[in-house]
Amino acid sequence: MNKIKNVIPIQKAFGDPITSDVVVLTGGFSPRYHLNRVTGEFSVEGHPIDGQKVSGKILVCDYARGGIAAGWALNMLKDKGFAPSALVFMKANPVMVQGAIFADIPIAEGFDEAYFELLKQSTRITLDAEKKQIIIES
Amino acid sequence: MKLNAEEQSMLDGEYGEPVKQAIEYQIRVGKYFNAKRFVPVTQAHITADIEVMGDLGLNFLKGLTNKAGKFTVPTTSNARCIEFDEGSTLGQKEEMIAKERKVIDTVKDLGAMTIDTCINYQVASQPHINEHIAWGDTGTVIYANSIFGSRTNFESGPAVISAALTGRVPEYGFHLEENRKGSIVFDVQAELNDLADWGILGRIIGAKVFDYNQVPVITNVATFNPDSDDLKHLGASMATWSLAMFHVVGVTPEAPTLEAATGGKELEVITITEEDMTNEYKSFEYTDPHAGVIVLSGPQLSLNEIAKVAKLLEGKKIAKGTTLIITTPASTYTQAEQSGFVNTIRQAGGIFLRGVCFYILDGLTDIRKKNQWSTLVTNSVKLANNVKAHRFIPVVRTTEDCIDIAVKGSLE
Repeated sequence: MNKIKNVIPIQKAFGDPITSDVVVLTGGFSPRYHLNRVTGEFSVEGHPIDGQKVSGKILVCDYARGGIAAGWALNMLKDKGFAPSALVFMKANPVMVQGAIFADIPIAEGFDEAYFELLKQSTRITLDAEKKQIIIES
Repeated sequence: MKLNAEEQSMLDGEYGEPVKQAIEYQIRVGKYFNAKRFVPVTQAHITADIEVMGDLGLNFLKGLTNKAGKFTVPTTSNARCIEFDEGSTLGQKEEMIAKERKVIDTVKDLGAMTIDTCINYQVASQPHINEHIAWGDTGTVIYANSIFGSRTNFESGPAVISAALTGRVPEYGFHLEENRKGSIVFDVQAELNDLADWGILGRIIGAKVFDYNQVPVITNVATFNPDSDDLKHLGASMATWSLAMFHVVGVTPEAPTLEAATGGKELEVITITEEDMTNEYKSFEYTDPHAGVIVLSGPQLSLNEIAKVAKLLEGKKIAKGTTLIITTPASTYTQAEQSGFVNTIRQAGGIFLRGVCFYILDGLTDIRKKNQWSTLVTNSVKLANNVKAHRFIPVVRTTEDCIDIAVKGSLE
């Protein structure tokens, strides 16, 4: 992987810089319908990450799903220690953004599928909202 | 963001701490979306339930009332997660019932009209074209943008509470004319005879588009003369895929013609066939044909929908071992009671839940286990999209089929 490929430009971002391990979800994410908020585990039957926890990791996902409740849910998940440390979407929606900003969880969106494929192979990344970029560390 | 004098005063704290906090938060959101300014809204529809907001959210709301916060525009409330009359019977915990009451009391103190419905557009408020509003619940948002031609983004819990406090929202997304034109066309070559068909159509479109910023244009369906319930199921289904607006040529106000809907742009056209529709119904696979629970909910049922269910159930009985659940706003329930529909449905063995939505019920997984429900039959694609997290096996059928299955107790 060359140096340019290590840096992914993003269109929109919020929050403090953060470096963390990555967990990848495809098929969209809703904190209301995909997370068990009692255990903090993903609850999507048959999905590769069913049963996994995302706390302390950067959740990289293709799309944000509907579900207006994310605005409250992310804050509650953070309070319980279940929330991801940051959210990175190919395409987000206002619900996810409003919820992440309310909970003060870094969030970013806006890159194409080729970059998403690249992120799927990564294990650790840095999200720098101010510079509007993601750096693939490993 | 550029602030006018009133907004600057809000930011300076002259309108009190809750308004100051609200506009600070709204500015952060506005900056993310590159909003240049705020736009005043005429009304708000808030989403606040204890299942999703937890004690932290409840304390946030209490903090607003403690600091004398008040909503400044007419504000209504969305469906609850607790059924106050049937909750204990369902198995909802007393502690959560008490907390949900506190949520309701607190938003009432802030000035909300607690109508507890996700179909406010059918029972409470019909904003006009180009009217800027702040609505929560994705189903209400897509209905407002598409069917009324009014203007709102998805406004989640704290975002819409903030809008109700300040009376404005950052101007981005669907508040701007340039974002409301169609971006992809769906040419429908299939029959649409039941609201489940409209939900299935919404699922096909939603899955193909899956992008908040896209606006699908649907052609060749005006001949089916969709009513408010058909369009709400179409929209609610698409909204679960993050869509907030659509046009139906010849039906919705910003789409008198295909050219008006697209702004004259040449767009990609995707054809949806009868086979596509059939395959989508088939995609809801099940292993256990026993229909333990039939749920008509998501969105809540209108009076017309309840009337149809009552007619289908006249003189029939729900099968032993099968439960039929209908959710509806309290006001619609009263009207249905006055019209005799409630009696007919109750005599057949149906259950009404008022002011709630089925799939957001607090403790739903435990309720499912307690009743040993697995296969869930519904005419709502939105519901089917959302109940899998509780390990139901959802199956979508037309309204008539749902009632037949409820009477037989089996899908086969």
